[in-house]
Amino acid sequence: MSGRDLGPGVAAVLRVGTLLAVAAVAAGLAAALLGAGPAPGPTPVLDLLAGGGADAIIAAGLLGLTLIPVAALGVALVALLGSGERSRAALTAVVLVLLASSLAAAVLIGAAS
Amino acid sequence: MPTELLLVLSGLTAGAFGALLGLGGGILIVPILTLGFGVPLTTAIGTSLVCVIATSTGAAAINVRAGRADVRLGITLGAGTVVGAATGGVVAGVLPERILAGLFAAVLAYTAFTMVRGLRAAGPADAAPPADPAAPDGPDAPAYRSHRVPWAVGGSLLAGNVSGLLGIGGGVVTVPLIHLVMGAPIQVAVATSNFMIGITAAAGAYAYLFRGDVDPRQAAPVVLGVALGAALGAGLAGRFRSSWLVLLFVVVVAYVTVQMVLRALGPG
Repeated sequence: MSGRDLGPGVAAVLRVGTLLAVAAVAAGLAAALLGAGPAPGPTPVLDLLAGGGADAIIAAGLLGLTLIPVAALGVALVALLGSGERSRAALTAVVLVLLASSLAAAVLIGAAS
Repeated sequence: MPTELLLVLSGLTAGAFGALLGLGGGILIVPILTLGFGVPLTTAIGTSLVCVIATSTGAAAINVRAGRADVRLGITLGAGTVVGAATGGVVAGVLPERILAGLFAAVLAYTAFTMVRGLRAAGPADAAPPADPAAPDGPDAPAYRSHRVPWAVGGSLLAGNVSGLLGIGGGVVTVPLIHLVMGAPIQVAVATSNFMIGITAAAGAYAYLFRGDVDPRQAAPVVLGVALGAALGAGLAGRFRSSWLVLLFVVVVAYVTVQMVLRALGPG
């Protein structure tokens, strides 16, 4: 068997995720242009989120954007497990673990600096 | 013209270009931000990585839905690129950058030559790929998915590695890899590469975001432009003749080759 079609689920996550993240970035930028405070410059994303306001909305959108590939892989993993494709599911799990590791390392390094 | 509008237009161009050719658009975004807007290189690379993800998700949403992107193949090769990107820093500490740039330029030059030569001998490249009755995925699976997989995984490791080492998108390696080595049609190679580059870029983007190497007020308009451009480029890619896509891609590969040669010959 050729396995379940991964397309619809993965495409839905990519489409909805991109729309939400881009909407957040657009809303944050609009709020910033309409009179938020001075531009913060390059700032750690956790500090931006903690600071609130327009830049926090932009930061949430940017962070959300980087999490979309993770969510798409998660949906693909569930579909692959459901169709019994164990070796490809294991490969997907490895990629997810690697991405989670790089995220965890970035959070730890960001918190320490 | 306001700076934000210029940044949106820059992102729009990079996103459309990237989605059309299976690249992230970083080849354009980094020089535009550094040379055109005076953004420091590290901040430009961080912003570029976020934009590569926007190109990838925006284009892949359309390509996966249209059946052009091969998600299973993308996951298989994506594992290689993520591992390659993760080990890029280790390799960078061992090999001098000039040697790496020289090797990479040689690989790219050969790739461009092979793609141009393939145009002359091209068969019905726009036709649907043949199925492989003996494929592990079943008789309906396209033949290219099981063709030269070890070579393709090895190549994707290289793609991830050069992406992490040299700050360019892995698409410049993965598109020829899927098209030339595995034998997939160029549209499938471009669409699958678009899906993969978001996964690779995410692995690198987290460090820049959490370290504070992304400026939200500069990144926001570029991301908006890129998202619009990616949707535009992905829509156009399905209408382009294969030969035009290959030629356009070869021009980009030639440009990156020259950049790599200059880096290899430059002051050490």
